Amino acid sequence: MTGGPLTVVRVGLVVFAAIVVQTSFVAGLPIAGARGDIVLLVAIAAAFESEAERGAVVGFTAGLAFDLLLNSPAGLSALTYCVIGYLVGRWNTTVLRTTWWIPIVGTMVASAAGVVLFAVLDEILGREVIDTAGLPTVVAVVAIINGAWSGPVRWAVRRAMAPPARSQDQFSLR
Amino acid sequence: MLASFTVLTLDLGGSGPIDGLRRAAATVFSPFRSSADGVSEPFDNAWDGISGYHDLEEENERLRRRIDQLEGQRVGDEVARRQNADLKKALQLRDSSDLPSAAAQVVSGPLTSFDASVEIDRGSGDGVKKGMAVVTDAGLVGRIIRVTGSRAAVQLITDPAFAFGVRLVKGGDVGIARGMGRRGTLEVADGITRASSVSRGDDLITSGLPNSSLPRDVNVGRVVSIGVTSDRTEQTLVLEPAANLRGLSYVTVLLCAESCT
Repeated sequence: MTGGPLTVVRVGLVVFAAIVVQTSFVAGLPIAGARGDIVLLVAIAAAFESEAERGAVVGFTAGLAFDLLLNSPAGLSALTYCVIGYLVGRWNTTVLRTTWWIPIVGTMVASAAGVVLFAVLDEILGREVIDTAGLPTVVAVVAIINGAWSGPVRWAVRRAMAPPARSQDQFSLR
Repeated sequence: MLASFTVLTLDLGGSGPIDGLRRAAATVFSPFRSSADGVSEPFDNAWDGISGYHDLEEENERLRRRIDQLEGQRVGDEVARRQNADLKKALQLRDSSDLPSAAAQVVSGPLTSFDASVEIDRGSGDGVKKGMAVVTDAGLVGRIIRVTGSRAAVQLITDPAFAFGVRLVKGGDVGIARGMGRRGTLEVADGITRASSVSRGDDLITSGLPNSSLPRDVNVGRVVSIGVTSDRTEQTLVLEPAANLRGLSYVTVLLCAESCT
């Protein structure tokens, strides 16, 4: 990741905090058996607040760290979050006029895409952990919860990356 | 992406370094998660109360009916249990209740929507080792997959990556059970021939084959539906786990990692 060692440390702390929040708070508040994914949200927020490459790197790092605590194969979340971070960053560069709701809706769509991508990769690996009948519920719950958390997480990621020219919320000011 | 594929390949191949990294990550996060769990517990409890109130009412009613049924069976079971114990003593057999065990509290549920593991407050310091069976009074819950000093992760029997031998109580046929993920059930797709007599409601227990880490005769679940395999040579059974995996609070770790049979 570019941006100096301090930026790396700050973003690392945000990822660390996101994993603790995910495992201790968000995981304990299921809705219809599904749980939000704050770690994926960090990757999406990094892509919104910088560019595609940073989104991919933060996504990979956060996903890999989270994978080490899960029972799923290490690298599965890393690959998913890396791809989503990159795609969100690419999409973000195409947005010319923005309003306050675009990052929230974008986060919800990207979160939904992340869940579907994870499910597809899981199926390709032959694990079949995911009940396809219940997948729409999981997609909807993750999208809504991540949309609700998008403001504070984007704020934390923006402060961690802290390039002065981009430290203001470009979406809410226009 | 290449790095992700590399890590995936290493882990699917059962690489040692990834296991070491998992243990290190669990150890690093453990104190922070313990502190955060202490803060989040009242919120989790309040949420469970709000979101599960209707379910609790239904469950309460169902359990009252079940208590009435069980009261009727209790006396007969007590006589059978004494006879069973006398016979086992005479034949020098042992079962899972004879194994050393440690009670544990479930401190964390699944971490994501697709996770099929829970965490308990016992670790290597309490004698817990990878592969040990975890049970409740109702039946099998899972097995230990990761251990740190004070915590351990339990892979639930509903995880599709978890396969183990089961035996029909009625008939004694042996098959392989595998979890079905979020559906919360298990499937037996190998071992039960079409000639076997199976009906809905039949109970299955662990087979306890030689060198199995699971002790024999632990209750696994009950048959809820029966089908046939695609080559029409064997039966497929869908099981409902005997243990209530959605509301786990306390479990027992059977402190026996190899040759529990």
